[in-house]
Amino acid sequence: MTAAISAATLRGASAVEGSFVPARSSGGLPGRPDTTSLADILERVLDKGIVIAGDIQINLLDIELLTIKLRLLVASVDKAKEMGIDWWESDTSLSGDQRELAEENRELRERLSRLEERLGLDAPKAEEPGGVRQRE
Amino acid sequence: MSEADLDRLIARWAEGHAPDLIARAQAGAFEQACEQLRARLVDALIEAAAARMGATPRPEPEQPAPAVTDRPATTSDALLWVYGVVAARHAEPPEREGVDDRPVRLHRCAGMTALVSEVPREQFGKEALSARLEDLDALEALARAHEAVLQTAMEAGAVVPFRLCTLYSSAERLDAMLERERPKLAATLDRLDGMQEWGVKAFLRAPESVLAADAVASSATGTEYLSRKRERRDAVDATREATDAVVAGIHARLAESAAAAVLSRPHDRGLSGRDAEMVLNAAYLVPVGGVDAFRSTVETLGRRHDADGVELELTGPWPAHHFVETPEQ
Repeated sequence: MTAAISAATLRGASAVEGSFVPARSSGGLPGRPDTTSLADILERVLDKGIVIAGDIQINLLDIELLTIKLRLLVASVDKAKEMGIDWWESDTSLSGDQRELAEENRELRERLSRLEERLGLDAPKAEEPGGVRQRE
Repeated sequence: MSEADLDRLIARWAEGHAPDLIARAQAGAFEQACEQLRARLVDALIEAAAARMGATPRPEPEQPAPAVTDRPATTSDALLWVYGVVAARHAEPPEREGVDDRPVRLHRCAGMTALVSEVPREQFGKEALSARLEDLDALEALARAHEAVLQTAMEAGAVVPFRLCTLYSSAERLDAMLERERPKLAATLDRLDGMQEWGVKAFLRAPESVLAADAVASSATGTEYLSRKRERRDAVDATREATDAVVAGIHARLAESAAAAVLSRPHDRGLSGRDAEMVLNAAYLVPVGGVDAFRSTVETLGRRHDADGVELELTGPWPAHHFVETPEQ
């Protein structure tokens, strides 16, 4: 999903409309008339605002939606971690740096095993550091 | 007469009169019960007659008369959804439907004015609401409606936004909260008067060197492959350091132009829909009179850092969600 870049994207000399037009980023779900990004709204109404408990105790972080679809509620991640919900830390699809590393490791391992096959070497043990054992 | 004699006399007297006492107590109980029942019968009779005549039933006698006529009379099946609190000078509710297209009303108490909608317990009680929130479409609808009411209210003055799903089981419970929280709410309203929240995000376009390193031919040798990967990693690291400095500079400059600033965690790449990494996600509290200057500063910073691969995005005005809780309060 590529979001259209709104007029409010500031780059180079692009103009911003007059003072009374609210600038919004688009990025809402396809088909929605309101172009305000859902992520922008959710991070505000779920995680910010006045902290006064109502009568109905809805713990927004208990809701299963948030543990499964937490990628949509990035602002609540810190809150979730406070509560011990951090399953995504081992989920390589969510953490940029870790994803890169995991990806790199996977690619390297694949290449190593292909190389070793070609050279007729034994498959290395998982703990074996560094490269391939060369045969004379 | 001895002490013992006196005791015996008193005991015998009491024994003799006990049945009399019991009888009187019973009679008294009957009388009191009768009185209470009579009062209830009277009320019921009048209600029935009034209904027959087409008039609205009179309210419970124990309840204090509402201070303002626009307070909704909640039944036990209804809950009050609170959007936020506004200054007392708001004479009318915002012209905007609320959650589930329900009407939005003003609820006044203790000099505070809350924006509320009456909602059915059947759909907004704890279990029902929790179930609804599991569905992203339903969550989106509630969130957008809640925010839209606050946006509309903002046009008439400061609004203190409440978190989504703040519900009270009766007008009295809401009153109790408003009375209790009055000092905090009043102070927050004062602080937000004449201010707007504006959001600024910064995105980092991948630099040319990184893009080049990514274009690895599938037949590249192992060495080439590893060295390209290393190049990319180094380029990314260098870029990251430089970007951090740029972003810190942008945030500092914008914070100078604002009364307050809050940093939030950047969104995941997939979420923004852009093929770029979000490197800044911040909210700034700007006085209305300073908004033009603020926007112009954002534009200038965008131009200045275009060469660094940084793109700025401005959203607003928002109700001041990020600025209602302060460490002192």
